[in-house]
Amino acid sequence: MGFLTSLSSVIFDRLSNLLIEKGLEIKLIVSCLIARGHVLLEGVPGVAKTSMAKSVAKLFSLNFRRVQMTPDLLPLDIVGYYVYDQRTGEFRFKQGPIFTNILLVDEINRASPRTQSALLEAMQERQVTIEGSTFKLEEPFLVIATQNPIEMEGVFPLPEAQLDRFLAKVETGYLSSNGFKEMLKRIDEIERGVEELKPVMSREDLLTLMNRVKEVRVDDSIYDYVVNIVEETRKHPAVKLGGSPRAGIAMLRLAKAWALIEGRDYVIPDDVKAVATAALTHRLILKPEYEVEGVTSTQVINDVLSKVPVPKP
Amino acid sequence: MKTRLKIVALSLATLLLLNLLNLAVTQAQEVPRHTPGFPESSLEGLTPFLSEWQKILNMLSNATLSDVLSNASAKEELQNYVKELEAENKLTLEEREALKATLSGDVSVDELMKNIRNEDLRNVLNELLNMSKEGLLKSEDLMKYLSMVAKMREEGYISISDYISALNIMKTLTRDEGVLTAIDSELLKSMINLLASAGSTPEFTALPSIPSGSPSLSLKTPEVGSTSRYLEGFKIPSISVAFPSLSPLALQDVLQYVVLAIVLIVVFSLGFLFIRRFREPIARAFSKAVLSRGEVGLEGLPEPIKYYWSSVKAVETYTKIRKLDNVTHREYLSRVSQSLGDLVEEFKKVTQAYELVRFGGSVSDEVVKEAKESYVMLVRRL
Repeated sequence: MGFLTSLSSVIFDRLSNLLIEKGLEIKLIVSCLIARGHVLLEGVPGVAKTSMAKSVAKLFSLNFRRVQMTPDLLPLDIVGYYVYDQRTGEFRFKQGPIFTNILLVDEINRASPRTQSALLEAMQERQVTIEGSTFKLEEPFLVIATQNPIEMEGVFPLPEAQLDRFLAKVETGYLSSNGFKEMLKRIDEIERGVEELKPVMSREDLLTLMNRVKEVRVDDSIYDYVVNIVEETRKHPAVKLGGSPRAGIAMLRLAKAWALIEGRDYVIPDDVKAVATAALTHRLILKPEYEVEGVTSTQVINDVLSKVPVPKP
Repeated sequence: MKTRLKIVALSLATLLLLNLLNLAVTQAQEVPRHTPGFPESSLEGLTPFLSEWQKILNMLSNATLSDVLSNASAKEELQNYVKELEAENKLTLEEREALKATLSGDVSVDELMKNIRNEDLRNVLNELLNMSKEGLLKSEDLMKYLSMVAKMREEGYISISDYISALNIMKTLTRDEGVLTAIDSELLKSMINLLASAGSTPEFTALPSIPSGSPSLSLKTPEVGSTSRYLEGFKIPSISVAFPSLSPLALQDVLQYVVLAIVLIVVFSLGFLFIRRFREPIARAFSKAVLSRGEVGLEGLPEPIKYYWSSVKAVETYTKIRKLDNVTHREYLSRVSQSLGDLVEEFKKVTQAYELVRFGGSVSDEVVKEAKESYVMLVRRL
């Protein structure tokens, strides 16, 4: 792989006209996909969350399904259930929407804790067990769960332990004025473009790429860098609960995937920096007094990154 | 360099002179200090004669003036000492009169009253005299007045000469033994204190005028309440305003400081000259140590890494943009790209080679060669 030729540049070429100002989010979602993780996408309604998920699915020739979570949704509605077939006189398994490559779980915090738990277990195990039968989920399997940061009524916020199962939390927001104007001008073209998006690689190529993640070279100093960052989050005055070892693992896996889509087979400190916020932000618990003051996890991570020295020489 | 040395020496000398002038002005402004209730002088610094007297007085706490004056030789000694002080002009007119009246004991009340400067004290004493004339003055009343006058003295409201005169007047108003003893005792203590303070006064109490080209130039103590102080004859602020001192120093202390300052000036000047000879070698050794500090961790590392860090040093110097510890190589490249102009391409190649070798683990000859070429080009053009 050359220094500049990369998967990300190819993706950008395809998406630059369709998803305005969403390059970073797309890259993080693709990194999660390649690193075999799942994404928690946080943003207010109407900021192209579904379009992003759909675009990623099309870019890699993957199946895509969407589930709108509601409080009365049952686990069976997600994973599937057995139905009695009167013709054959047998019970037949009817797959739920989880049997896909990319599953967009809209407003995950609206589902009951029981349903959330069932979904998160499936995400972790990459398989579902119903009536004693286990069904493997097809690779690649990526859950993009969205949640609205504003609405707090009638929702069941995800517990910290379940948040930890998401490899990355990607925050997406409104477009800039120019981006918004550009989007309005070309809205019909964008909608059509997303539907007609051509893949950048086949599912098989994607699987090959995913297998290459573990071959990405990580220098010893990069491990130190990751360790230092995670440990520094624990020492930060605003943090009640800092990064866990799983946070470090997530950061490293994301960094490796990030390096790969950047066209490199080795990780550099820039990769770690690029994914640090996405890997850590949902894993830090801030002290209430700092939260009241408006301190956010993103600010804490930026503060930590500005303190921790990069590998030298 | 010689000129610079002269300027330094001149500056130090000027500062020293200004400080001395400041001390002189402060001493000129110094007023006699006395804490009420304490004798105006201590045994230390008194003449041998008074030291002896004060010791005796301390031992005989109940001694009175009459006891002393009844001894002819003691009286004569005291009179002689007063004469000496008079001859040396160490007594004011009031003090002289007060002491004479005390020692002779035959001065009239009117004369004593004239000698008193404090108007309030005069009123008090007139009141006493009126009471005495009318026969209304009792011993107890006189004791109360005595206490009141003693308190006035303690608080510094009346001078010691006024106090002695007042005691002499009171002495004429009673025949009560107890009151007379109390007055006599006070008289003796006050007289000894007065003689002690007069005897221990320095030879000069005010700073003599400084002889100069301007006859009007003198270090005059400013009036109380004046907001600014000027040397008379010149419209420049006196040094005491610019350099307030904490406490006045005696001349011998000043001389100590002068000597110390001169020694310091000489030592610093010689030290400066000595260091000058070795300045160049020291600077060379220091810069070598500083430069080599950044290379300590580079020993044994592949060439592209060395080229990169040398390039970073050169770029830092050229662009004045420092590579901070938390800044990655790519971030630094991005930060300096505008400042480097067309040199950015060379630095970019060095950075790429560094990244490839440092994190990619690749040390191919091609990478090393390319990095070297870019490095040489970059350093040459910088």
